[in-house]
Amino acid sequence: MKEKKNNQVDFLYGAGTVILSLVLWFWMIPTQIKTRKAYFNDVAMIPRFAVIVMAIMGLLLMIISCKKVGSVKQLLDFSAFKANWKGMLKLVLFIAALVLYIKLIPIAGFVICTIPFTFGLLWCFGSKPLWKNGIIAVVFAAIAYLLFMYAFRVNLPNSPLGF
Amino acid sequence: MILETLTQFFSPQVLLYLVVGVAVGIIGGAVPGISPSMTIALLLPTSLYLPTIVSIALLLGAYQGAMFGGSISAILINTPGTAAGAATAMDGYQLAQKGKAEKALQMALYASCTGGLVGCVILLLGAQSLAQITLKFGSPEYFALMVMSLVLIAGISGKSLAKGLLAAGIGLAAATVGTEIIYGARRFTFGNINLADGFNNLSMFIGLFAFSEVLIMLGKSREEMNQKESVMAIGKDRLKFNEYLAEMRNMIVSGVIGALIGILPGIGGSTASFLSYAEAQRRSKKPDEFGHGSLSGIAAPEAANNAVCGGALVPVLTLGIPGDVVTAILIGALVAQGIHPGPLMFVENLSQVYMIYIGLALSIIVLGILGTLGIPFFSKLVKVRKSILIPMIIVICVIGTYASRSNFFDCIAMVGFGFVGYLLKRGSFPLSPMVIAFVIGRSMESSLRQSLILSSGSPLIFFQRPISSVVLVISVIAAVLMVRRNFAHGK
Repeated sequence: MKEKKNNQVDFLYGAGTVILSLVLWFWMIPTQIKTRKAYFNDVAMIPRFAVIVMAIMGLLLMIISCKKVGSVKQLLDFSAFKANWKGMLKLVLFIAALVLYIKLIPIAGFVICTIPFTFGLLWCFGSKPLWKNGIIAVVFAAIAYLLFMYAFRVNLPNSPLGF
Repeated sequence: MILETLTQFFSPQVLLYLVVGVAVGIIGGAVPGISPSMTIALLLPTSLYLPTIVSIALLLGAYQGAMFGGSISAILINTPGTAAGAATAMDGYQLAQKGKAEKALQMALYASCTGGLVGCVILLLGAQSLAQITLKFGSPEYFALMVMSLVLIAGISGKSLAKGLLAAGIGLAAATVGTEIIYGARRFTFGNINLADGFNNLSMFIGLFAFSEVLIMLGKSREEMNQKESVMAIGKDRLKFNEYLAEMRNMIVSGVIGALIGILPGIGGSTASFLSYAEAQRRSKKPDEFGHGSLSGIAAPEAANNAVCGGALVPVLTLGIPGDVVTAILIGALVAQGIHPGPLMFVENLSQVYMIYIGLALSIIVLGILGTLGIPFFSKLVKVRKSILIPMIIVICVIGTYASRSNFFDCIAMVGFGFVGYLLKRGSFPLSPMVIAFVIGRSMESSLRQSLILSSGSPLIFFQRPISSVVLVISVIAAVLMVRRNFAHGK
């Protein structure tokens, strides 16, 4: 059962790669690369080569997984496949929160953004008690700010409050 | 010149960063879930703001430290912090259960130092002579060598050549983003000025090695993340000098095995550890003791995995081609410092070569001192809860990526690479071919296109020169053999 699931995953990855390769070949390379020369040695040669490698390997993965499961019908039977919606939602929410944090730093400043973000992450990963998380978040944000700002001279964005 | 470079290393700043590098490396290796590549990727932004010599000391210190650090958690909690530490766990944990954890840790430390020195000697002997040969190489030979490295790394680093090559294809495609080198044409930039120079190396390194791990940990329960490991007591049984001397031959042989494996692309520390463990058991007068707390079973893998560091630097210095992910990250750091690894370094910038030799040797000495003094402290770090560590790593990922170009676009790219790394790891794809293809992608393209310009577009140039044709033939044979093996195992 587990082996069949692994093969189905491989098949999906292979199919995904083939689709990605087609998108790259027929849409992205023609629109995003202005070729200067029409012969073999042009600016799109390596991107095309990379796409060919991806497409062939994607196909190979699909063929190998088909061969191992025995038939395409069995391979495409996803009835035993249980999607982990909760896990996926957690992943999407986490990435969205991180992108929001990155976007907010230039506006609100590094320290102001980092304290609630670190506090939220500590809570999210199950660290207890909350007051301890609060202290960790403040101390960590302050140390990271001072270290990068003054020891490594990285110009981190300041808040309107000046830090 | 060597004395001049040596004196530079004895400045307080360099020594301080060497100690910091080794300490951070040991911590990174010791805490399960943090790999050496993750540690070095997270240290990389810091190194960009330091003078070249300090930066080299920091990163090489971390490299050596991380290789040893993996053995601490292997011995104390039977969970190797690095893949290379897995062989150490077999005998180390057994000794710890007998109340001899300190003896096991000291054996691992001194074997790491001895193996590291063997690797250093092999680097000294191998790099100089190999550089004399590679100086005669032209672009066709370089292209052929890069193809061979990629094929070997793709085939060996994972269980499936198809998955390895697919990952390499993605890395190569990512390397083509930005302004192209010969005509200055822009590729895949979507009119975004932030992509004009291509993806920042740091975005990829931190995203793939640090952030993707964080995403994988999101799948764990709160209880798992908040769990405190039960650690074996250190004990009071210390390693005796004659016990160390008794393992000298074993450590030297294992060191040589490790260094030679390190030179070969894609194999890395874990293979070196297990191979030297098996060899030590084969040569041992008491092979039955292996797996039940034998000191030889700790000395062999530890000597081998630290010797890999020296060996892995041979192709970096002589060809500019990384053999594993850690050296790929090191190349990124050296390039950011204005050092371009390759045989020309031995002609134009010999002092930089000496910096690397001396940096590696001194990092081993510092590892010995710091390890001896700090074993009780580093042992406590194994207990650090992931629920506290991971949020800090996430913030460091963001600041670290931002630090290199003061550009938040790089942080978004880091998140993107992290997600790609997460998907690839979930699908059991190896990440090393992707990173190495990304690092050497531009050099590979320039070698290929320069060769084609030389031959007026004829690909036959690669088969008209003896070295490039032999290397390409070896690559094809290796690929065919690996495909046959994969088909036989249905992978």
